[in-house]
Amino acid sequence: MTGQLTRPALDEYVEGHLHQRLAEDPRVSEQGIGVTVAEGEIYLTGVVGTAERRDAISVVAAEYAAEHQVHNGVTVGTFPEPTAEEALT
Amino acid sequence: MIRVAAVGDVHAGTDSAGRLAPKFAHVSEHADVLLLAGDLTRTGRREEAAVLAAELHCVGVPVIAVLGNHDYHSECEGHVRFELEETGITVLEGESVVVDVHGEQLGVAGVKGFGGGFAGACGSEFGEPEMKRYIRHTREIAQQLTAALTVLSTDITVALMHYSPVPDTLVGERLEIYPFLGSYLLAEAVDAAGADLVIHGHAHGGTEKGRTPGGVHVRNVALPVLRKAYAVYRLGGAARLSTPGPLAAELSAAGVGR
Repeated sequence: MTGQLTRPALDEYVEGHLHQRLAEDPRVSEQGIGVTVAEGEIYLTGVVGTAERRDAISVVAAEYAAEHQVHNGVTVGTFPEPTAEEALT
Repeated sequence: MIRVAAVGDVHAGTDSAGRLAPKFAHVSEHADVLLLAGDLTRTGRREEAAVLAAELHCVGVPVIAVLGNHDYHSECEGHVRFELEETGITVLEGESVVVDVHGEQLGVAGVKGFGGGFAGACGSEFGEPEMKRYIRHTREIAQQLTAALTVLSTDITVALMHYSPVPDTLVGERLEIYPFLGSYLLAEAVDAAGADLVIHGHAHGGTEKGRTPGGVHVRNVALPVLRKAYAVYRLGGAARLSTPGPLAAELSAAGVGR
């Protein structure tokens, strides 16, 4: 796992390292979070199972890139019971 | 006619206690069996598996699962499997199981699967030892899948895995990560041995529906793809694909999957 971002870095490297960190940090362990960095701000997207997991993503992102503003657009999936079935023939 | 409920990538954690059971409370009204397509836990810890097992304890139908990459993360996948099996969940890894459903037999062959990529854009056992091991792992799993399917002669046959056998159900994911999401060797195994349906997960940003090159239905049931607690598929009727596909004779002659 990489350490805290301590100097200006190209957006692409911030995206890469934060994406890996969100998978490797045990507080998050999510591989499917979208990370986009633009003009010094970080935009996160995806779906997780609980509000606690969504909030943990904000914490880890802020720890890594303290100089960036983090916009956490990750949503909490509700996943209702199905209302239909599919017939396969 | 057999109704199969399926979902993958439930990612149960200790924070899931009390939250999953309500989602599965009516499975027995909708389906005859529940299949779990891997990534059952967040980080592959025993206590996470125990939470999932407790949440599914009262679903009222047989539960059959394979593990996914998350379930291996803490390197105690044996404990994960033990916790699930303790409550009656069947966990398959290169194995198959037969379930009687109202006099019809449902056969399920299960493997985790692995990556490697798809025909024309895949890795090979070439170069560094790490690369050779990566592809060899996939090949071995594909061979296990062929063997597990071949022993089944059931009315309905389902291949259950975590990784994808086809690129069809990855549409929506970034092309660059396809080799980490599945392998065509898994589809080849299914087409060689024959099946009615392939169920997989892993590709959260993918698409639900696809087919193997041999024509077998493939369904990506990753929870974020379904956007519901599980999908239900009704199998049975006049048109079935459970006999070995057109590739079977050719592959058998070539010694593939033996």
